[in-house]
Amino acid sequence: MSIIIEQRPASGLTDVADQLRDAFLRAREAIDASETVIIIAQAPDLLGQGTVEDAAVATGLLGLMRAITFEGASKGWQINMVAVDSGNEAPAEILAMAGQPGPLKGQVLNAGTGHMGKVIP
Amino acid sequence: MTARGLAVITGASGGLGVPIVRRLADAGYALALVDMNPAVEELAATLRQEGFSASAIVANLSEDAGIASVVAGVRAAGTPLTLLVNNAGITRDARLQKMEVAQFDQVIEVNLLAAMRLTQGLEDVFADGASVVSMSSRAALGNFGQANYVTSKSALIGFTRALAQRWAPRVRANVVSPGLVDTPMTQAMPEDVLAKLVEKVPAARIGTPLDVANAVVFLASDEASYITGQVITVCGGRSLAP
Repeated sequence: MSIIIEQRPASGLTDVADQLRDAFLRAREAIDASETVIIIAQAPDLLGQGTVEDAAVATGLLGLMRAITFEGASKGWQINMVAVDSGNEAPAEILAMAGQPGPLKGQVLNAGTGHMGKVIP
Repeated sequence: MTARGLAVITGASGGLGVPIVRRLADAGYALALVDMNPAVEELAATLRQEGFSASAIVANLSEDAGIASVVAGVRAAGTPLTLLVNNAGITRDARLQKMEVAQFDQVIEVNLLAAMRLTQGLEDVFADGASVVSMSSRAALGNFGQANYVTSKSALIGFTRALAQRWAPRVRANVVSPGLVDTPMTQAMPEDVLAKLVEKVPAARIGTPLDVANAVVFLASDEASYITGQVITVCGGRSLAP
């Protein structure tokens, strides 16, 4: 089973901190329960195309995913990010791939093409 | 001495702060040194004795009053604000399962929210053509026992990318991400541990604070006037090596 943590539009700095803390706690709880974690982020926010608050949340979640992977890859912890273009839902097949126990760890799976020609987040 | 305008540097009295301050002073900036540590006043006094233009602002950037005092200090300086260096940062390392919520929150507050608060607080004060340089870390790409720190430093990159696009073309915003650098923090490591870390650096040495300060000065300079929203990783190649 996968635990899904989804980026929400940030209403301000307090909400940035709240979203990052909630993600940290939920991801840790899932890891403790040997569940896989999928973070759904807005691809445009990974590139800073929206508000500064939304960009901080999206890339903060990216960092959290990488930190957890770095620390837990050898322990079997599995966490991935699905990045969706504006207004799009995360496709079920990509969510299934991200949550499938296996070698896919610490990856950003882009479910769109808006990131093409841009920096790698 | 002030041909480059005013530079505000947070965490000015810290291990990386002082070398950045000195490099910016040499580059011709007037300096507003911000730190919670009152030692920053002594640093400013020393710089003034050496003939540089420097003032100190002791402020807690987690509080509105702290932001207000920096903004007031910058306005009172009477020199155009051309550079903000978001350098203040802390670590509260712990393994994921042992990290306390307070440790997570403290690091997010100091490393991310304070920088966002100050940068946005200074929005109307920046001169045209000014620059924001924020200090992230190679660790933003992932590191052991630093879920809080990695989250904060990665978020700072996103903040900068958005800032660069929102404030263009008036103000540029970029990030410097240092790797292993010779600071009091690394000097406190056991010698053998540090040596093993240096072995993983393709440049075959530890970075110096001047390596980092040089990147800050470059990004702030006219030579970097077409660079915004970018990250320069100052790590001797460590971010690529196995």
